[in-house]
Amino acid sequence: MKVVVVGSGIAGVSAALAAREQGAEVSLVRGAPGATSLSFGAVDAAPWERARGNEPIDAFCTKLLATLGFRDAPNALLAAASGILRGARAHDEALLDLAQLPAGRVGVVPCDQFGWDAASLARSWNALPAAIARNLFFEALPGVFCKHTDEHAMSLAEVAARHDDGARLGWFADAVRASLARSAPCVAVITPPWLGAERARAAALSERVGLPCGEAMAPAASPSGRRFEAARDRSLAAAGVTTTAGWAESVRVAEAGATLSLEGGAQIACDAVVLAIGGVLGGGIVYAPAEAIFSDAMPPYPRHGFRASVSAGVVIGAEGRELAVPGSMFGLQAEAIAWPFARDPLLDRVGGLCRDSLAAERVYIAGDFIADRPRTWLAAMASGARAGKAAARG
Amino acid sequence: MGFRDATPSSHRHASDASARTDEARYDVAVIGGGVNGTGTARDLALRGRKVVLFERNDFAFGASGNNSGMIHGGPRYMLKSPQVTEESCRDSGFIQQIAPFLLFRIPFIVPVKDGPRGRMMLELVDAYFKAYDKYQPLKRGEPHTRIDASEMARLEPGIVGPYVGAITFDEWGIDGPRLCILNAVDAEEHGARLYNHTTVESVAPGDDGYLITARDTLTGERVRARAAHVVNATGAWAPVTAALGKLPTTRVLVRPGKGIHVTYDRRVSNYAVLAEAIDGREIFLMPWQNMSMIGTTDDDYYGDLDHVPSTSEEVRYLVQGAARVFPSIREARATGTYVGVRPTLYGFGVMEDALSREHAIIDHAADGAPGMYSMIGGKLASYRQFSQEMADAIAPSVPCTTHEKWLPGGDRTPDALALAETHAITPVAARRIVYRHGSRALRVLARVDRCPREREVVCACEPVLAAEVLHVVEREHARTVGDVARRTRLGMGSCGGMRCAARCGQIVADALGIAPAAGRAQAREFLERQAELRVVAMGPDQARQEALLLAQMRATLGEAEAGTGVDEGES
Repeated sequence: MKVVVVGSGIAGVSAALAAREQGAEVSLVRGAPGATSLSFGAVDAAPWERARGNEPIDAFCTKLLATLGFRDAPNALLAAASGILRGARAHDEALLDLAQLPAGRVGVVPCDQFGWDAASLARSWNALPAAIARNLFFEALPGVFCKHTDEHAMSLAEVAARHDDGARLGWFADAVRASLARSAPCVAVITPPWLGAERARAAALSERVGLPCGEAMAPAASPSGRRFEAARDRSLAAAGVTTTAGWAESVRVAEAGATLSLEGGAQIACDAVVLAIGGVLGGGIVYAPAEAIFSDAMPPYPRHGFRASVSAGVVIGAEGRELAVPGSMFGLQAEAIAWPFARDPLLDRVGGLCRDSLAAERVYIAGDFIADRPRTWLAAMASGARAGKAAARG
Repeated sequence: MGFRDATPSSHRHASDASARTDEARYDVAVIGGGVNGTGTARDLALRGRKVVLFERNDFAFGASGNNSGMIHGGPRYMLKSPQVTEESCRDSGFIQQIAPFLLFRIPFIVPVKDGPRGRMMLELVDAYFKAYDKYQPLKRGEPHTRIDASEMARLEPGIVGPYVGAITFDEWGIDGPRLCILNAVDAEEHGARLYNHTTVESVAPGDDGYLITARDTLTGERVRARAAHVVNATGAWAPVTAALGKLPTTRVLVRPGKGIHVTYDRRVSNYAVLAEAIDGREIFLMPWQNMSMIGTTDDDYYGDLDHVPSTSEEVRYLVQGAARVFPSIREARATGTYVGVRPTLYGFGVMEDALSREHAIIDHAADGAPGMYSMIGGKLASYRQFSQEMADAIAPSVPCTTHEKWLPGGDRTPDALALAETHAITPVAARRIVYRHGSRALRVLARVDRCPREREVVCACEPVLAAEVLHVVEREHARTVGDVARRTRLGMGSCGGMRCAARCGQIVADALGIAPAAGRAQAREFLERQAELRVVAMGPDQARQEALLLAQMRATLGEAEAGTGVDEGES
């Protein structure tokens, strides 16, 4: 069996590795960073995600999480630079799990970068019931933790990359130790999202400092997505999945098999295709309102506003039904499909319709590309595993 | 309405039910913090009158902050009410003198279609603007020019179609919210007391004047103040306000006209391009500050003035019209919409566009309420004149000086590049600060010298530094993330506040000493309102952005519904 997976987010990786596990020959087509690369390192189970229904975590997913640098921690409590504490089912190893800490003081590493004000964050976290219940008290640490002045103007992810360097991480650890020596005793240290771009450096830092150290989640420019990409590339290579960079255009199905065509003319022949191309955020579903396509005052024909970015005979819909052509020459009303008008907006639900994971002959779909699937990490991972397995079995 | 009596200040506490008596007796209470209210407050304060101003939402929350951002002469009004054009032009000239840093020139182009009567039409437009030239010197405007089709194609390549030629002329752009804030701040510096987010609940006749009771909508605190005169400068809300003073609403009728603008992520044209909508109305595509916009609609509005929606139908109406002249606008990236409601003078049986843009002062002495006035109608461009007329009625013995005294920061415009160098900030940030604050940019930047942390770029789109956020909180009465956005344009760029709102909420909460959760709630509220205004203009790019915003809100801000988050409640 030869399986081609389109998409390199969490669903695509999951599908590729699951198909490989079934003994299929797997190649993966990698486009551009999507939703997974924009993620923050927290895996599901936030109170507001719990309501959306989480997938159970099986042995395959547990293994995959570990491979990708995530820690399985069913009751994790993570800090976010937006000033909240949130729960998670698992998390990027670089993040500090507050649920693992004894009561006491948590030192907050200050920096002058965009969006990170240690004193303000400490005040914000200290006011939360979750911190009070655990007797955790956050306080900004004294000292300077940016080694070079150019770092003040850098994004958090760029500084994170600098901490991949062992010597630099050692300098940082020394600075933290020196600071801890000058402040009241701490049970842990929370840092800006700084701890490595290639791999999570939290464990190495913790060892050198002698206390649990880890990041808080950043609202933007988080290095978590970069760490995922690096871990993904390592694990795909280790599993013997070949990867190709390019944009998938279409899937053609014939008696003997399927052919995936890439932009630029390249073609890959296979037995089955898994489309894990993402929802609207990932670019798998393209929002294309009629008036944006046609430059005439009136478009020649009405249509609904969504299509798949890969033409593969997948039916686009929501709530188990194909999207209907609206009775408007201009497509759907934008305010009816997008947040915040609809709490569960069409933008977030629209996708390919499938039975199990089969969406068309020889075409399987996974992750956010599936209609009505909660847009959570575990749901994407589980659906990827199912699609990969089904594709490999044929 | 039953209100508690004033609690002695020694017993005052910050619970919802506490009442605060503003012990001072004022000469004038101005209700409404739009451009006419703040302008009147400033004028009277400069005349030495003791003034108190109440604003239900924030300064410039309504039409004053959501207009086309021009103090234009209104060539459109020249035929029907030339006095509106002349007044607007003259006042525009005065505004330039008192706040030179706040104005920027906007060149306009009026393309004329080719066709059987194209030549003649060009002659007519030419003649029309020849008449307008007469008013231009009043506002340091340039006389119009007439250009042929090939020259037009060179100057504005985005205009596509068979055109016989065009006319160009110029107008002045201005940041409406800044104009209001500066008037308010100047009034305060001349002794006025300002209350924003404070809604007036009743105006009752008392001993020698009126007793005004108001409630702070953010803290719940009550404020009571006494004033000899009351000015109702609440724009489209004017009838609502009049009813609070037990005045017959029929005396202060306005015909609220809703207008929306569609904004784009960058300047897409060199000129402001005049176009025609499907119903023949005049609309325009205009470069403004660091963006472009299409404006505007004019529709009767009967809904809630505190929460005015814009709709995708209005967006389509504007884009359709603009694209007929400037087709590439369909490929440009819309970043959202904004919406305001004009307080147009009442008329029945008239099309919206044909309503008069004049203004009127109603003396309620005739309604048995001496000393009470309502200001109705008006335009941004002639706010100063209108305010002067109002102040003249109340304090006729003291001459008006609002046309000669600088607004705060107007005394000189510092060199932005030099400031960027001396304060080690980016030249773009320096230019934007100078644009918004004039010479007071020095005060904003003195903060980064004292506290280098305040160099932090909070909003990268604009950009806005932490120092400016703190400045507007401490000096300009910004009390919420939305207030900061109004004063600095934070979060108004292409990301719609996604990157900056949460951080801004932290800064505001810290600076005001309110709960961090309140700062986050403000950020969420701001993002939701932004999303509401953005989605109606949503194109393919925005769809992905909305999805990203949704994902980010879920991951790091939580959702606003009560009881769902770890983040709920403070202790």
